[in-house]
Amino acid sequence: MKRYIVIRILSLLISLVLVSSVVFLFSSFSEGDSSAYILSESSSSENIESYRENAGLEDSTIKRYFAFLASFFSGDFDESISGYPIKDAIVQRLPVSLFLMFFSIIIALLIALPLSYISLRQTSLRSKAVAAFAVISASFPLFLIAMLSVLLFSVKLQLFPAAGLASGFSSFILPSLSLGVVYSSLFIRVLRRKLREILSSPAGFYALSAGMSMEEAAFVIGTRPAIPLLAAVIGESAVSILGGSAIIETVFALPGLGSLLVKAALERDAMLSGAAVAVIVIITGAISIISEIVIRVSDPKGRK
Amino acid sequence: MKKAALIILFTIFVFSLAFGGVGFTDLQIRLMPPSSEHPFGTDMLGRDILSRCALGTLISILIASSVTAISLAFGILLSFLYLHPSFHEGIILSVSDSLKSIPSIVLALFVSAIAGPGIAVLVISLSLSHISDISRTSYAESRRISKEGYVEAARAMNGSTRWIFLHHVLPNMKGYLYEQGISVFLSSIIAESSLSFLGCGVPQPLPSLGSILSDARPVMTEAWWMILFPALIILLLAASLQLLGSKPDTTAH
Repeated sequence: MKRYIVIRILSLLISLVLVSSVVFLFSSFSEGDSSAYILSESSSSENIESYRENAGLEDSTIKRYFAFLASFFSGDFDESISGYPIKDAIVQRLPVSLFLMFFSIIIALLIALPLSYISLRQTSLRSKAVAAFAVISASFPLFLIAMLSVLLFSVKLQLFPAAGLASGFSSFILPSLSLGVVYSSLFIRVLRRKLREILSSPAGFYALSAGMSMEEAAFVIGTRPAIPLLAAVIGESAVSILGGSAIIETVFALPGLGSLLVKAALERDAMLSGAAVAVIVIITGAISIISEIVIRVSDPKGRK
Repeated sequence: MKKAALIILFTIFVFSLAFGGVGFTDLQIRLMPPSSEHPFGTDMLGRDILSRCALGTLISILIASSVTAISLAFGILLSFLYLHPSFHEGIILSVSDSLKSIPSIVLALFVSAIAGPGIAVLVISLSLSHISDISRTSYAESRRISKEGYVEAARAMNGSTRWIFLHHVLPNMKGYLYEQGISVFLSSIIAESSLSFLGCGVPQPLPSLGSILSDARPVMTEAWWMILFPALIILLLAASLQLLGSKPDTTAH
């Protein structure tokens, strides 16, 4: 377990170094340097030189690289191209994305758990309906389901706000519902397969022949062994939900990390984008460590 | 089911070849509902949605095919390397594990912030996002096959790694390559349209199903045809690819 956590943290560091190095490479090979932005065109060459010396631009590339890495890892990012401090923007936007992620996972579970337990009998109409729901909801690209839900719930029915954070909690309902519906299909597939597998094991046969209904048997003997698998799937989809929030936050105009990334890509702001990616990498690293711990604790095989 | 999925895919492909075009701007016919002249209607610049949808689909298919080809070639190359007894897979696997912690859309947005928009950039960033997945699964696959008795026998008879790879490993990877290929293709279609929707994908004025839908956002309430047709194409593509790729959902008897 300890060894696993150490390896995970190391690989997290590798990806942070990769991301920051790409940002550095990009900014050091692009034309010109910050002296061209900060000083006016009429500055004398002496002024420019002294500025460059003070800003460390005259140092060797290697030295600048390490200085850059040091400031990157201490969270001391520069200003973005549009001129606001990157660190503040990230600190403000992080809670929005995290809340969106947790809320969508809860909604996905609320959809997936009941649907998987009631649709276990293979030939039943219910099973086919749930399988069809899984295929259809997985076919929807996130932006499409988000647009359609705005059209239906905000424009036509006027139940929820279409954009922004102004109305507090209810402005999270449509965004999380869109994410939740799309990701529930993955949970349904995995959980159903596992529950059916358990039902066809000796324990399942025993429970069924003792007179339990399929749903009862799945609930009583299937739930416990399904937990490690569910933890793994939740961990993995939390990572990709964080990616999907880039789309959802843009459609619903939520000020989160995802919409910050889109903004950085549209403005071609490598530093801003790199900083946001670094924060996302740290979050996903933490998620995968937590889910691995849950898996090991809940699975007797991994409890050594 | 699979036959129906194949027919739908083929129809979409023929449709995209037959009607493709950027569409001419004609402000006099902006936002026209479907008619015999413009069966899918026109957008706010008066461009024909039918031809934009078709070209967008074609571009989407081309991008997804190139990403799939690159990813599969990478997987085949890796599984050949994994076969060498002296090859150390540790570095590749740990780099791929650390790439796994970056969601694919985030990676694509990052690459787009650095390299700017463009189709080539899109293909590269989408292929990059599959590398971690491919290097893991192709490792498992080549491990599974190289443990088979006939591979050991071939090794014992001093068969070269190349021979073993061509005669034993590659033919056995067919199923894996098929499934992996379909899933990469599907996720590339969805990722491309999502990125184009965000404005970081296929650069304008080239159409993409995603950017047609994002053009539709301001006029969503009146111009239903701008949503219905591109959305329908994406959904049909995605659903039929899913049906082609997944094994039927049966594990218990």
